[in-house]
Amino acid sequence: MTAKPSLVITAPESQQLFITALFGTGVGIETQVGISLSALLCDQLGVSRDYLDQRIQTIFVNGRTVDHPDRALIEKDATVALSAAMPGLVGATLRKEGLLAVFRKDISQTDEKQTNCSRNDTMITLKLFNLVAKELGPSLLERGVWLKGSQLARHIERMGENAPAALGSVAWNGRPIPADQLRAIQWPASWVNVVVHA
Amino acid sequence: MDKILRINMSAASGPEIKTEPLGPYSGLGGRAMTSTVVAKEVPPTCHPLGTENKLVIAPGLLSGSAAAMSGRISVGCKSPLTGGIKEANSGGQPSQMLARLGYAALILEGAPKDDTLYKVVINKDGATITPDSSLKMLGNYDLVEKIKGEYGEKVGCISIGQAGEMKLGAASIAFTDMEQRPTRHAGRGGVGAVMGSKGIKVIVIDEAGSSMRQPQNPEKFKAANKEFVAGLRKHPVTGQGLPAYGTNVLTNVVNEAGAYPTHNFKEGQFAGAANISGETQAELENSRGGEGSATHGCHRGCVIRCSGTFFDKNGRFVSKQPEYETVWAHGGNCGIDDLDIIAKLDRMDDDYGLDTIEMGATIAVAMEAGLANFGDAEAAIRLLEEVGKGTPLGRILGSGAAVTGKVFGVERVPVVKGQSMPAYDPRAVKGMGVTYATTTMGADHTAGYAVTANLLGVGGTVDPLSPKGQIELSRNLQVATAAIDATGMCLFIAFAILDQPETFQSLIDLINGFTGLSLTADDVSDLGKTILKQERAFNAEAGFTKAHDRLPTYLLKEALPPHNVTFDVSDAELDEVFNF
Repeated sequence: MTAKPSLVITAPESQQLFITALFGTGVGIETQVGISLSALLCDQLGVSRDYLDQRIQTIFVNGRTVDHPDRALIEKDATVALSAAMPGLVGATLRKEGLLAVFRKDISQTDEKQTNCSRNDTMITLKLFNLVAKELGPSLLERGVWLKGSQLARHIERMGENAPAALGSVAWNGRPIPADQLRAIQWPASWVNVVVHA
Repeated sequence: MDKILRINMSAASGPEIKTEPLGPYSGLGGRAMTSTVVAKEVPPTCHPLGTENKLVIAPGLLSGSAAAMSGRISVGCKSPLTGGIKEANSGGQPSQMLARLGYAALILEGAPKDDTLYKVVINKDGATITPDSSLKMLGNYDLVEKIKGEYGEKVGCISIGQAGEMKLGAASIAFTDMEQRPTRHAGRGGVGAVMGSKGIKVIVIDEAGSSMRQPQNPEKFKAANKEFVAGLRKHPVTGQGLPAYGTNVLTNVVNEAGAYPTHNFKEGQFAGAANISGETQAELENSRGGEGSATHGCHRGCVIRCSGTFFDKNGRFVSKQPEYETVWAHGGNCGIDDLDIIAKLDRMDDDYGLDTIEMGATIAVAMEAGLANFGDAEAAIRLLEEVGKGTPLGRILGSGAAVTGKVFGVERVPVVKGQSMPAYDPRAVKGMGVTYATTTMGADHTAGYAVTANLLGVGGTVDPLSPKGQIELSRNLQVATAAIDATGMCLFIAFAILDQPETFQSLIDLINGFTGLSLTADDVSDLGKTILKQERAFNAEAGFTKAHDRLPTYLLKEALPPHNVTFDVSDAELDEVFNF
């Protein structure tokens, strides 16, 4: 059995660009079809219930707003996006269970649209925006996320030439490499497991 | 604020300045003042650029006091863009300055006999007006530099750029910020064209010798202000999200919702959104300008500080942090995903004196017409330069999206009452569409803000799940917003007072502590209703009917990806919005 590609980085907290860019476009998370969104976040990813209830005020699954994370079920290849409370009329409108939810009823996820899925494994895309990215991003990177090789190459390119020098250590497929060689790695087309230690 | 400064540009012996007591306008501020003066003194059928129209500039009710967030200023007139009544408001320093000098309103009326350009100077000794042809066709930045050289680095300026002098429909009025830059604009509706039609290039305000306005009940005022500020600071939007990322924090979220108008409202998601998001913008600004560059107030007394400063890669100042609507208008709507280009376009808009929303929407319509390709940033810059130069093409573009669409034969023109829609597609967020359609202002995202809908109890308690919920909510929000606009408070206080009843009460206490009145929430909503009723009456006399309270028909027919939704709120429902 071939081991899955993995990249383990030790990075200082100041590497915020990595977190914002990474979670803004989304990372892969292995999970199961049919579990609830709250089970994914709280049970699997270690998000506290209070954080889900209080801080995460805007939730999308496949671009549709979600009001009840306990009732929203994960579908195959779903895209989940999480945000803190947002400004503006539309920001208030998109909030879960908000007074203004009627303004966006046509793009809200309804219970009827949920499919009764069996519990197969799937890779979902998780996007974290704004304060949620800043607050949940480091712990998720610590646990490990998945990125396609091409996606990872783009992110590392965006970090700039000098950024690798600021990294503490880099290990590619279990072998330590000099940080300045990060940009020279030939990334595979497949998923790469990325772990970032603070 | 116990006086009005009235400047009659038509007087027989040249411009004439009068200072008057408030009279029937006593107790009014901000939008309540501008809309009341326009409703009472401007014939609704007049030509917006003619002698009968008036330009009213009014600080908010609490401006010039120690009340936090109270530095917004309102500009009112009959709009050359919509043909109806207009209130556009702005941050910057002049609101506080005018209020401290005692002026509740400046009213510019009449029109000069020739094309002489004038400069007005207001200070503690009164006001003067002098011709100054050296200011002709200066951009706002050069103009303010010239004024600084003449009057020093502490004066505030209210000015127009080339677009206002050319009386273009998208012309804005600039207000200088805390750094004395002309970055804050009353953008919407062509108010700059009306100032241009009065022949006034700049109003210089020197507040030296003035003092802060004092409350009637200092103890009550001070306690309420403290509570109000604490409420703003503890709320996650006003205390954390807006200071960290600015209004552009909305890009990722609205895009994810499929409500981000892209390529002239053809799609609801933009592939380059993450490149121009508020998160990316804040990181870029902080990396170039130092930590804190993404957190800055637009006026003295702002505690939310949702603005910022945009420097180029070499550390040179480009513009203030572009707002969400600006980033959308010049960004996703035109297929451009480069923050440096967007900041440059923002700077050009501010310099020429143009509404960023209208210009972004117009350039997208021009792209649809084939004048440039979507995503062609250099072409967008060239088109905007045409406006600044005043070429025939530039004058068409500077007249806004509706005119541009008509000239180039484009059906997909996102306007209501001639004013372009902002950065939220009404097919995905239909409640926003209800407000776009029915507001007195033309398509306007700030006309029905998320302000205390049920707290104010306008029209009863809304059942948000009822079919008519969005109609009732839009009505209530428009009423509440009109009232907030009268106070001079920044609309962004809305989130804290929406969610925290004690913060809403502290706002009422703040107003009462300052004025010595005993207003209730009902009184505040009555004020909002009064403002809207007189605005509606003005528009009706100007020739507006129910047919004007509609979205463009293509939004009813063309499904918006990715959710493939159309705007399907019925005409009958739209007509129920203003039934009070």
